[in-house]
Amino acid sequence: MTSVILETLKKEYKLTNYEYSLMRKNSKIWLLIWTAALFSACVRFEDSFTDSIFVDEPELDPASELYPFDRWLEENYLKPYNLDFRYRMQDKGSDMDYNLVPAKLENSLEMAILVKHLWFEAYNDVAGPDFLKQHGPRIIHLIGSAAYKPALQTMVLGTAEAGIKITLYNCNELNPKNIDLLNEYYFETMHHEFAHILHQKKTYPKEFETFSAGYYDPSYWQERTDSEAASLGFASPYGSSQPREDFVEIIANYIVKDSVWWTDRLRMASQSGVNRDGQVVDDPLDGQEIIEAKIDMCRKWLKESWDLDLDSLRRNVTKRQLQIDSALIEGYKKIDEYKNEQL
Amino acid sequence: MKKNRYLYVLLSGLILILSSCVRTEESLFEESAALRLNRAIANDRKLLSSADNGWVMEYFPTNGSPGFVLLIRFDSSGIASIAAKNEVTPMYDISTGTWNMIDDSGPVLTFDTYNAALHVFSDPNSGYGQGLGIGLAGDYEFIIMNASETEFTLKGKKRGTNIRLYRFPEKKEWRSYFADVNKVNALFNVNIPYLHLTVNGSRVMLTGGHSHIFNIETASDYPVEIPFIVTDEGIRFAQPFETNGVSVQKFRLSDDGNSLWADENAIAKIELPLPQEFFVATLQTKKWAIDTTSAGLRGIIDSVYAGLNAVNRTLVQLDFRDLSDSVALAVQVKSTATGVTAIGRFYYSVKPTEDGIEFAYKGTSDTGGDVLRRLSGFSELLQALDATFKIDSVNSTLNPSVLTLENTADTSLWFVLKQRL
Ligand SMILES: [Zn+2]
Repeated sequence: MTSVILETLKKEYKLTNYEYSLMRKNSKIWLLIWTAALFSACVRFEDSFTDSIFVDEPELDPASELYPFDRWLEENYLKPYNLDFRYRMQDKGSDMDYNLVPAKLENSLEMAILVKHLWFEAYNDVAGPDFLKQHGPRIIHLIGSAAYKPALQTMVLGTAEAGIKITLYNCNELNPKNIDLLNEYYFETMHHEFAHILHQKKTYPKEFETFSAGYYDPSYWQERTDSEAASLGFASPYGSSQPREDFVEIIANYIVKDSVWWTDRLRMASQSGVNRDGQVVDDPLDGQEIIEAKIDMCRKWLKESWDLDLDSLRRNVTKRQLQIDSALIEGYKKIDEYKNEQL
Repeated sequence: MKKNRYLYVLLSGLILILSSCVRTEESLFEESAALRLNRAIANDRKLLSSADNGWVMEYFPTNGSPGFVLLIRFDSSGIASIAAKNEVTPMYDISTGTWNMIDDSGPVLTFDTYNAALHVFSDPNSGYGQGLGIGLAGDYEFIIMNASETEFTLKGKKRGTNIRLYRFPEKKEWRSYFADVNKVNALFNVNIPYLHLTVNGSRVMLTGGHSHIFNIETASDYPVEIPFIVTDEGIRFAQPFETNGVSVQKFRLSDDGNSLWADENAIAKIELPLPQEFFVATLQTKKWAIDTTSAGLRGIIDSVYAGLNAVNRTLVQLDFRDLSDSVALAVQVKSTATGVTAIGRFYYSVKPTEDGIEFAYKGTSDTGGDVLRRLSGFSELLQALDATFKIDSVNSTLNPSVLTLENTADTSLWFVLKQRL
């Protein structure tokens, strides 16, 4: 049995155009920040599936209205992944500094089905059923609202603590019809955080950090446009904050973004960067070549270190994104079937 | 539950073993405290779900905000139904979500999936209160301070507000509860400029009632703010208020629906302004027109018409209005030949008293007034209004818009005032 100590993880995003238009309605510009990992420095993560971290898991009550859903969660998350899918909010398990609300019950059902379909089953298909049992998160906590920081005009949309707990915010805005928003708010975050977990267990090649060396900036990244970041060889502005964010941003974006997005991003990368003021910013790097080389290195590392095929995962996720409706119907049907156990 | 108990025994046994080498007495005490807590939680759960017709929650989001009443039924299946009708849930509605009793360093009642009627007070995106990111900043997790068959005392976990939860009558309709709340709310409609709080014969003015936060001008320093909650029976201040040596907090609606009487002290009451006070206060935003068909002013009005007719003018409007430093009787006339209108103003001081209102003529300073006062009928009119009147509301005590004024020295001299924008 090996044990690792996971360090603080952080993921931030600059506002997307879609989010920007949403925020504009409130005539305020909100930077989106996905931050992670609080007290993780002192949390030890036992790298073993058999060790349960839930010693007082309450038994399900067949008289409860929630029984069918709870049973489904038991069968689909607790038993296979030893994962506690927390849709009932407890503020002691979340940050007391924010004004938050719980997720709507109907959204939690949808989210549970979608996370299973778009995330867990995708890794299962590609890496085998034991992969996430061993390396996946142990807690998923749903929050209804975003965690706003009004003073900073930012909001937190997702956090991951010590590779064990992933918190997804803004679940009351869940809309299964909007794939881009699904990815931006929930699924890209999960791939991002999960890639961190993987590279903390087996380090990525040092060579990765040389491609864009000298252009990482942890305090200036949010000022960079997509175009500037791309021309420097980054998948996103946040990727330009530091090498490990660069690494997981390449992976997460590669998995969830479609070919239209990537064609556009690589075209951007091949040209000079244009900053916020519309000025051309010259750099000596060939962004397109760098991004492609980084993807190659990620692909190779995932294959060699984890026997995980990045392109298969991407294809699988893409395919699954087209099956969202049927996955929901099937999920609801399964949940409904547990009502029989109540009679 | 069996599995639970087994786990528990296992766990507490483990605690005993582990701590036996440290301090046995303390761990024994801790164990029984934990048992007590579990029992309290189970008992609270049972009490809450035992009320078939639910509970009334007197909810304050924060200590500085007004209160809101909610009706809550706790089903033993884990679902809470919450009814509301208020500023943030304008139409009567019942919403549902889950409830639970949890251990968070003591028994805590939580509504742990979204329930619109309650969580609107906590939602950072509600658009109410302090805006995006903050909202009304209310709690949805409540520390149980006290629990009984009939009443719970709760404390908001983040904001520390005092929240009462008491059993709703078995036979009463939920909807009718909010109808009763509405009756009390009539005293706080936006048309009422202020209320009086009378304690032991001394009066203070309560403004801001429509926002459910009273502002009280005190003799010293700054005005005091008193958030309150409107219930089916009356109102309750968020905190007790002390004036004239008497502490008051809870008030009950009178039978006529026009005043509120303190529960704690029968000599404390909250009342509507008198019609004369209402008249003066509303002059700041509204005009009061003299009804020219008033029989008690018939002769004088007739001669005013005659005077105007002689110079080819007709009367358009005759009203009292506020000119910031004084009250004016404004007379608007129109030329029958050209249709052009003109206005003349005559100033009065007005002084509401306990019995009525005193008008004292102060002259005119504009050319319109100077021309008009020379016409026949006008000096009689100005003189008739330079008097003391008894004043009564004709249509409503809550929102008087029609008043009668009767000369106290000559009851045959009277007229009607009608409010207009
Ligand atoms: Zn990160």
